[in-house]
Amino acid sequence: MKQPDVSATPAVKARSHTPASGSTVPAAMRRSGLARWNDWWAGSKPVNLFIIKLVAVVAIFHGFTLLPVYDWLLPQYLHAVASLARALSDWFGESGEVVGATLRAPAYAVTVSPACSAVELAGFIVAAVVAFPSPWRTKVSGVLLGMLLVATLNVIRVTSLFLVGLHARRAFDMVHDDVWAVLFILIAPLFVGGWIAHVHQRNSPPPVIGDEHA
Amino acid sequence: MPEASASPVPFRFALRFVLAFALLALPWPHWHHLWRSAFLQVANITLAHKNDAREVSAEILQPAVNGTDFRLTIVNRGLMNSDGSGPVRNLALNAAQTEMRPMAFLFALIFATPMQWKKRAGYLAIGALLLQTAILSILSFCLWRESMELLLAPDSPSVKTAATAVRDGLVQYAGYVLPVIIWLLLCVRGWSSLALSPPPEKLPA
Repeated sequence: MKQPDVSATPAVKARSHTPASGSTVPAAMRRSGLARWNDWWAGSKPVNLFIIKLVAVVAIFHGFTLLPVYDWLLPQYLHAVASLARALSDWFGESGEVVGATLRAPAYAVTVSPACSAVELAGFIVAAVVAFPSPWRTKVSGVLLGMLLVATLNVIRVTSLFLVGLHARRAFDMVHDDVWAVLFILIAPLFVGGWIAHVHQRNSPPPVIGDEHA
Repeated sequence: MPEASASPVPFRFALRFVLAFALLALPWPHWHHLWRSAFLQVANITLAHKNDAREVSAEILQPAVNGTDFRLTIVNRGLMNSDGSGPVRNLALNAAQTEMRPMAFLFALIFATPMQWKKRAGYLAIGALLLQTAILSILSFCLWRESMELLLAPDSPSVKTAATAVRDGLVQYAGYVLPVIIWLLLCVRGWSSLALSPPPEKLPA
């Protein structure tokens, strides 16, 4: 969709003819500033609204994490992640046991700390999905899918860190601090972008075929 | 700005984004050290200072301690003892997480967005400046929050609780949200109306 090039509007061109040393702002220039702002807002309105909603939903999500119920939920979630990681590492031939949020074997142990819960990643995905204009049913499916993705990735991450800790301990910090951190940042916008593309494509009108023969 | 192709989020955009981000954010030899040193320079210029009582200093931690490799220290010189001991507050950071990855994220988004190279270079510069300002503002807020513990800022339980909640939110989400917001504001106008506007009404049959 073509947007007007703001810098080429007559209102802005008029600005260059106003005296630089003038102590009062001419009314025409004030109008042009307002018109420029209106142009910018009209051109970027969907994006601006998306940004405002994104920030608001992130704030609400963060507010939820400050509630006492979250303090009760988080350890359950971390224990579930550790238990699923144990099941997955069993599948790779490495057995361990889970105590709280710690997955341990005789040779090595990893603890899923609250900082490693990937809650901020889930918060970002939830906020982006909710902020994008779409029907509520689609938003709910996007939120659930996003949270499932984050939880699944976290289980894979904990399993991989456990296995790396067992077999290549020197690589643990690199895998923990660099590889997985980079992967998480990559995955969030790719999921959101893919979801937005999917929603947009599903709701777009079908192409008119054979119109010239009608 | 050029129009988007037929796909709302083109495959080419995703591919460019992944490649650019991986190239910028993976731990190449000396890459982290380069970012840490640059971050130290910026922090020394903008955050470190000595006022009457307040003193803020920045340093690189070598070797890293529990994943933190950068430290901002704040002291109230009025509370220090003659032997140099006294209450000190530290902001222990990971330079990659605080500075490098958000920058890489923003650069990769701008790099992947289809536009002319001249425009892209301009947006990279403006975006870096905006993001750096935002990161420093968040760190300033964190320092202000820590100042309360050293009687350098007026505090009350409610202000402290609110400031802690805001600080935690900023620290947790800024790395994801700030680059996206700056990218949207800078690059996504005409291009975005395809993907970020509500879907058009279906045409009558």
